[in-house]
Amino acid sequence: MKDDNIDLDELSLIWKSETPPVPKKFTSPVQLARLKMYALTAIETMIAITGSGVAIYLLADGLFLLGLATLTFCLASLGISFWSRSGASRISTGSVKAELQTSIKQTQSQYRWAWGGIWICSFALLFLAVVAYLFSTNQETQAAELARSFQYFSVTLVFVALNLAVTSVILEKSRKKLFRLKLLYENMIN
Amino acid sequence: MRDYISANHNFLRHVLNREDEFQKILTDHGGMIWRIVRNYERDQQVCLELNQDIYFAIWKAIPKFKGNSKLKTFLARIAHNKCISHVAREAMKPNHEELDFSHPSDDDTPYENIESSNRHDLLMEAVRRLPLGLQQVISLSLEGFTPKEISSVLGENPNIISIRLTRAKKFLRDDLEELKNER
Repeated sequence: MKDDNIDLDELSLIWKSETPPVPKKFTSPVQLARLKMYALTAIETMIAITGSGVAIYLLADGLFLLGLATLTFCLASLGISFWSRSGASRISTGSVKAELQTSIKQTQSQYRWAWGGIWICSFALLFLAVVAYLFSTNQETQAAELARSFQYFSVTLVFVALNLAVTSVILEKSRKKLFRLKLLYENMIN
Repeated sequence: MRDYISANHNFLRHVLNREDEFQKILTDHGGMIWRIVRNYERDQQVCLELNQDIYFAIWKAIPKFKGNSKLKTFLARIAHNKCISHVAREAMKPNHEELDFSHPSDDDTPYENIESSNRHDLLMEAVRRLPLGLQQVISLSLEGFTPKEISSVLGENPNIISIRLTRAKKFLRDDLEELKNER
């Protein structure tokens, strides 16, 4: 080692003296996470398709507004679900700085998606509440129609509550991840 | 240059079809990948998992390699990107954990090996003490990358890399001295 500087060649030899472990079979948690993501996407797709089926049934049954709202909600959820996951299985082969910037953008998108989900759920709930209220205040509404509108409202309430619980977790995770990524980026460029 | 690219393409065509060729990549560059992982993560078990993730990512990314840069540079990018993702996900704080100075094995080991291992641990710890930007630059430099190649991996201007490298060397020297005195 020199007085005013260090001998990188000598340090390089020491650095490279560490040998890697023998590669094993690919059994990574990342692969499991990816499979979980595919499974969740499949479940969400199935739910959205079922919901769309229900919406078509409602439309055929003459409940135009309710059917249209359900269909819009299901298709929007499906679209957002795919959009939020686009690029998640991509392998980063670009420079570290560029990839980090991309990760930040992706996480920001995820964060916005989570908020979008909360807003969509809230609007869906509000819409059904208004429908149920209008039915209940309308003197001409039959008992069967009123009961059905409350049924829809109850089912949607459960769905929205579950969705909000999941979305809030995603929101918190995204917020933390975004903070860490920005911190890493700051550390990297400074 | 054309020959070099052509040779790489031919090589990678084999890689796509034959697993033993992929194994060759791991044999040739596995050491570098492992040291990049160790630079970002202390926990040995997590390092093994992260190393596997990187191998898997490389396996998937190899078809994307067009020969615009050296294979080594391409692999270093993937490894660094994976490690950065890992750090962001796990919120690891490598600079705040205690270093395990215990001997890695109970087997009888010649003194030279112990000495070599200690020197390596010392260097690894000194590198880990550096800020992330300097850590990346010095670890790649120790792997034999030129400032231009480092700039290609990290995506920074080569001049900035040279400045960082000078700073990193200074800090590394100070940290090494400090660690030696601590021991």
